[in-house]
Amino acid sequence: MKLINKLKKYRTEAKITQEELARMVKVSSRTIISLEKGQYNPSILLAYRLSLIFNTSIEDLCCLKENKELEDKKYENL
Amino acid sequence: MKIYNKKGFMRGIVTLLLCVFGILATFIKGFSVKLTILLVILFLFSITDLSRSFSRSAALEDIVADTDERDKYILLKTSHKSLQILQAINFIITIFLMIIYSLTRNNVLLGAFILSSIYITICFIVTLITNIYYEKHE
Repeated sequence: MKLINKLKKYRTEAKITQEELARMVKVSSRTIISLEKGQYNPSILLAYRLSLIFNTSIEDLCCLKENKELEDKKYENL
Repeated sequence: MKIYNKKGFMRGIVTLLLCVFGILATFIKGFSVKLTILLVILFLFSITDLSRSFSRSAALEDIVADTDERDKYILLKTSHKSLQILQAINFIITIFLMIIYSLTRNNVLLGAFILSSIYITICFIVTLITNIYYEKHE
């Protein structure tokens, strides 16, 4: 399941390029692009590294509340 | 000098050894243009790997590229999907061979059917063993 996240919003607000962010969290820039598109879900450690850079929580960055609600709806509609 | 990327260093050493063997082969078998071009390319790869393994920043870049979690995930999915597709193709071929053999009674087809059946069985056993291993260790 694809998860929504606020990575692009936080990155553009912080005026950091995808390449710079990739270097900061020690992944490839393709991973950052994929994360921003919601095509790839980060590992807990990568989510933690990202949340530290943007000084926020994993819950907020990865929209965990919203994603949980979406998943719950999916199961309810079965 | 400190080695920052052991994997890259080993890769450099292996390609350098291949170069040495290639040069020895040139001395034994005589000059060959193709082999010389290959040796030059191998030597360049080797030097690049070795020099990058001694540089901290280059080694960090290489390690990040080698251990990128999305790349690992994609590799995992690709391997799984490839295996699934290959097994499905093999299964179809096996059934097809069985039907054709029952119609023609050609022994060559029977041999091919037995081989593909053995492959299916080996695949099943390997998958089972791997699954048991990861069930215990993950």
